[in-house]
Amino acid sequence: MKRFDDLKTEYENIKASDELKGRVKNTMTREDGKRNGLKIGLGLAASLAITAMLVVNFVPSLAYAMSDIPAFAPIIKVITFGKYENVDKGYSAKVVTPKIEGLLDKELEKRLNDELKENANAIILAYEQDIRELKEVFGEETIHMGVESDYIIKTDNEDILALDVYILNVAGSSSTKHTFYTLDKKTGELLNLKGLFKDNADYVTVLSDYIKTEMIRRNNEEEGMFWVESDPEMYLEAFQQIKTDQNFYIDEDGRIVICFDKYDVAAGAQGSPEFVIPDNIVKAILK
Amino acid sequence: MHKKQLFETYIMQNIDSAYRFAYTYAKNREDAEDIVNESVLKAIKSINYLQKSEHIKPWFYRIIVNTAFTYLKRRSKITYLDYEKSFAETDGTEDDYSELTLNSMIEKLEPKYKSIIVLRFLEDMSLKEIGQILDINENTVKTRLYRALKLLKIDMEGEVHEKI
Repeated sequence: MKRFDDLKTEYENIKASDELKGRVKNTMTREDGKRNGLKIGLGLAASLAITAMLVVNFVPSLAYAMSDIPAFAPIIKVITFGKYENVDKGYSAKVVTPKIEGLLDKELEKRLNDELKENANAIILAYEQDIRELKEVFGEETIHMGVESDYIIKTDNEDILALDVYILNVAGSSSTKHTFYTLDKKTGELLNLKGLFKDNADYVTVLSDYIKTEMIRRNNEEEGMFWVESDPEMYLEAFQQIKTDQNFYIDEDGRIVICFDKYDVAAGAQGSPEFVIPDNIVKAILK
Repeated sequence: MHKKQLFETYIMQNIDSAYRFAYTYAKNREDAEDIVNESVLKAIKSINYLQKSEHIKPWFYRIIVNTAFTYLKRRSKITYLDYEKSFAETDGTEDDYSELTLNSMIEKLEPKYKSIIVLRFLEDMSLKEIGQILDINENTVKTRLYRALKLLKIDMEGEVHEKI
């Protein structure tokens, strides 16, 4: 009897034909095409949403600036600091760097702005590296890959400036990662989730329980696609609980909004889910 | 690198192994190619279910296994006892390893044993990965592996044993 090793050599001599390679490449390109069409639609919708947000958010801010503010108090605001744009065949990048101004705590302001700048630079570097790698693998073939990073002002009122800095990766399908900065305008502090609650409060459980109920409700009533049950078949893990430093911001009405990135807790069609936490859920444990 | 790109890169680099794995089920070029292509399509459509990039191989192999079974069932071609015959139908000479006694014996194994032998000894996968691909727990993998080796009358004390 021949040994396994010989059999293995024979096995490894089985090679895919060039036809198959071509066919598989075709399949992938076709899928790319379909999804990119869809992405353009989404991208447009997203930018319209951003424009609307800016208008809505800037108006009260201006009104506020004119009327109530003592003349010398700095106005806490966000401006666009830098913009990087690149289009190279199928590859494209747009990276907008925001800058926060008007904080009394200049050290905090510098730290935040440095972080924003460094993150933007890292995205640009990673993009340039990805292009190099992809070009090595695929040569002159057109591969669709893009990155977009910009910011959305979630809240801008007398009390709160909330900024959502997101990075959207488009490569056939897309993924989005958000970083939220919520500033308390009265104190000039950067808020963190834990700091909103009383010292020993188990806010993780309280918020997670509410979110789980809400996920099930949305699944049942709104065709939600939240992962409330594990599916080991597809390596899916059900949502267990929020992280202690889960993404969040404070909305115009002063409510906590818990945020997840795309694919964190739901199918991609769900986008980046947000959960507005009703006051009565957290009233008892808030500071 | 993004999951989708990762998969595309992975498949272009590993298309031979994907094909030969599909081949162990299909036993002819045409079916094996269809299975690979269909698996790629399924993988791209469900790429977001791939949670960790290091799972890419077991994840994709699992898709191949599922696709192969569905495909062959659809074509009513589960002919694992017909090894010699189905081989005679193919035109390829380079793939012809019908003289390998061990291979023909593996071919005669029930699919559940065959998969394990192929994955363990030809694909060098760990018992854990095999479990993930075939959706069975590690102990079942172990039991079936021993049973398969016994059927093949391979000396468990011999060289094969070292690889387990």
